[in-house]
Amino acid sequence: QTSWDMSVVWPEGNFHTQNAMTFAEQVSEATDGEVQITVHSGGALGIKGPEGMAAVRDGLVPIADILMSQQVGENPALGVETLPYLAPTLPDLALLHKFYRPMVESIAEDMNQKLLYMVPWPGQAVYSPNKIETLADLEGLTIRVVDANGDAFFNALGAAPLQMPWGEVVPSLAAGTIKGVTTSSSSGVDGAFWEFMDNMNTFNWQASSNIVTVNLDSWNALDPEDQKAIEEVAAALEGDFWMNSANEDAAKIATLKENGMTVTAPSEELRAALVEKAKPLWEEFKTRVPEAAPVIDNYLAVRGE
Amino acid sequence: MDSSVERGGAPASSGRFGAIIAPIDAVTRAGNIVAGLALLAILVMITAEIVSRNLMGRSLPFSWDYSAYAMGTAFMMASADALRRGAHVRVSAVLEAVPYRLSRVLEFGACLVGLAACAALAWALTEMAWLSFQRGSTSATVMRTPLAWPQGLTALGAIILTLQCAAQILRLARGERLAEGAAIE
Amino acid sequence: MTQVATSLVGIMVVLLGSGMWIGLGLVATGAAMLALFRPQMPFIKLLAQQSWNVLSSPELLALPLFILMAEVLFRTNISASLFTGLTPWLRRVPGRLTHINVMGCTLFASVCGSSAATTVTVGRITAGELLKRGYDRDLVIGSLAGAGTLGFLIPPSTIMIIYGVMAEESILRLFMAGILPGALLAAAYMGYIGIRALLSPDAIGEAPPPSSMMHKLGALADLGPLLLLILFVIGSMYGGIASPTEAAAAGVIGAMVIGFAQRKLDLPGLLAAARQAAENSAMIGLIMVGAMFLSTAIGYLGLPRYIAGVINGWGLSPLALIAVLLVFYILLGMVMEGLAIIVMTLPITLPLVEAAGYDKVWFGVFIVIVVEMAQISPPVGFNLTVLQRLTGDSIGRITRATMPFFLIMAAFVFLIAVFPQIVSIVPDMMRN
Ligand code: NA
Ligand code: NA
Repeated sequence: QTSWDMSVVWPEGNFHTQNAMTFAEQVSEATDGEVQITVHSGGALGIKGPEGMAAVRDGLVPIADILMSQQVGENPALGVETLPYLAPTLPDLALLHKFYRPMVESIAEDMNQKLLYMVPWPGQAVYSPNKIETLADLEGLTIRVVDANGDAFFNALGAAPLQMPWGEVVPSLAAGTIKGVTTSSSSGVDGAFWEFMDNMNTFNWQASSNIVTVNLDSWNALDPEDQKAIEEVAAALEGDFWMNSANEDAAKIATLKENGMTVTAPSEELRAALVEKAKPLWEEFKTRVPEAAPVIDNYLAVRGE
Repeated sequence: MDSSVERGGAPASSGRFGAIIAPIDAVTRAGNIVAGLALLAILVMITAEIVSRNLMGRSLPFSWDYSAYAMGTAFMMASADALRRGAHVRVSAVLEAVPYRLSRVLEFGACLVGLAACAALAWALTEMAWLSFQRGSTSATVMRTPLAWPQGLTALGAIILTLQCAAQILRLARGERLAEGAAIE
Repeated sequence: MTQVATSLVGIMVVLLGSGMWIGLGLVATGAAMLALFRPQMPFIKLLAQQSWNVLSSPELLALPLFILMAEVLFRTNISASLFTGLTPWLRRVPGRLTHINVMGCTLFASVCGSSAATTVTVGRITAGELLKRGYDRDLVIGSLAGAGTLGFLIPPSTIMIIYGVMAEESILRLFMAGILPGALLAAAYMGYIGIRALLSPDAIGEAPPPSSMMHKLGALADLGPLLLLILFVIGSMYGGIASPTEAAAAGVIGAMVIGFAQRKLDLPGLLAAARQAAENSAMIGLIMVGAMFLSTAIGYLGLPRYIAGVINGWGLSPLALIAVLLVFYILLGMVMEGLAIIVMTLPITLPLVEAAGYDKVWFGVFIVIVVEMAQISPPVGFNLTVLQRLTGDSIGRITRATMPFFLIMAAFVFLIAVFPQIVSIVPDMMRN
């Protein structure tokens, strides 16, 4: 019998954590109890987001749920999805993954791990005190972003992006030190953002996925039968987990509305303007990370661009 | 005006092992100065961020990242001098309660285990910095800082701490007691 | 699991008891525990990762900054003028100037989210002066250690933010919920100081001669620079100029301005302050590295989860559950670091407490208070080590002096368990 401790940095109630628990249960069933996975939520194993893949590589944990875009320090090609407006809808993202997944698998293998499944987060929205109807409404908005793409994109939009630790965000919002935040509908509910801002605009400007990977040494120690069973469970559940992501977004947006937040979507014109500002960042990325360029080009070709 | 900074410990160069202890102490003091400057660097960077954001409407992308790295550098670089001057807190109740000879044996044993712990820390941080260098790992933030640099600074601090811990053992061996954490002036 | 627990206590007692530096002793304990029970774990990699986490965490930046502010302030006239300003006013209050510790910590806690930083900053300004004036050593140390922990309970609070994220509860509501319990605890500390002063009057420094109202008002002017500094820090934060960590930097700048204006501080003095601050930070930093590593090792061995699971099986009544959890957290708090305690136990204890009829905000305040108690329980107690540095007394002596304040906090936990309204009344007012 094999016991794996699985590191998840999200809280117990997060849908990624719930997905991981479902996965653990079904793995136990499919392997007749041969492989037992214990899910440790909330970063209880002391592993923070950006070090997920390194921890699996080094064998600190056999298996982990990892936010892929936080791993760009290990390999910049892991940031493809997070390019602004590259894959703004779930169908877009599924298409991108057709070309992207083999690359992620090979990067994972280079880091001594095997990819089991990938599940997207709801897209990144913009929370702000005022309604955002045109680019002018973003002018000078001090908005908290989390990565280089966010910084570059909101700079291009004329806003004043800044990075600060999550712990500083809520007090800073309360005091007006920052005016807006870009994050998912889930985080908006977690942060009770209606206490500080009236508007949420479903920009969906950035996609990002979590990956669940297993350490190759741990994997290779399993019976081939168990390996096959786990792979089948992962493949079978992945579709459900994507549905959970879509449902999560809808449910969290409903919660935001219940609490009095005005939720809008960008108009056609605004959206076109946003995408136009985003495209130069794709080119920049392709120059900086040439090995990822074919993934982007092939995906865009199929999408008809 | 602040004599407390230079207080603590017998003159290093006198007595047995002086030739080993004195250079270690010099490096240790240099580490403390680097750490002090790192703290001032944090102050400058965060202040610059406040000013830039409020007056120019632009945030400095490096302020948080580099400040955190400066903090790690300060923590580790000042650690050896803190050891030399007895600032690292220890539980001395048992040492005071037992006979003198036994307390010396205990202190020696504690120092040896402490040396092993320092060495493990220095090894861990050095290996991490080295692997980050080989793999080209960077931070995941806007700055994409090559992690080998900030990690290397903390590793250097841990190495100096290990050397100073060895120097403490030599001091014990020549009959001195470990520096006691008196109240800071 | 009994074996894990006994080994942990045994190794720790031997290593720390033999006089090892606490931070290094914790590293060694963690390594020994992993070698014994998880030999396949690459402990060097884990040590590297956990140390780097502590060493590169922007969430901790306020700590070295406030330590630096304390060192700068120490080199000004602030301390002396604080005492000359308040002495005539507190002349007839039982306990007199000892109350400065509690009032200072309460005030400082409203700008500082960390408990160790609150203790070190206020203690650096008040401890030496109080001891010099003949105030009872135990009372001075105990009140500083106890009131210093208000840093977590009175907003802003780093621990509440961690809890809020993990429990998926509004951080603003948590902040509001901490205000009244914080104020009540401060009042309880002051009450205790007053009673102690009435019982043994010689424990309190000599009374100053009575003074006229004019003199009293004149004395207030001495408080000017300090009040301006506090207003400056609070204003920069609540006025939307600086985030909580940035406000700490504003505090250092303000302290420097005072020092230069009083002609007490020069560039060499500033460098000396920075070097002393670096030394103090390194002391806390090394313990944090050791504490995080050991906490993670304990977490890997599943100890907190196991115990919480056992408690779950007992099926206790609400008050009995709170009592048991209090003991559980006090024991964990002795050997583990506060943040790690929350991260490792919350997934199991929060559902237990919710099932017993308490809400997440209430449990947040409970957790903050037990984490505060962990700050003052030996051997891993940050406020104790800070006070060791400030006063030069042994950890044992400091622990004894702190005990009454520790007990006040334990009693307070029961008070809020019986009257949960103490926690909910302020956030409910805000909601309406
Ligand atoms: Na506070
Ligand atoms: Na403790």
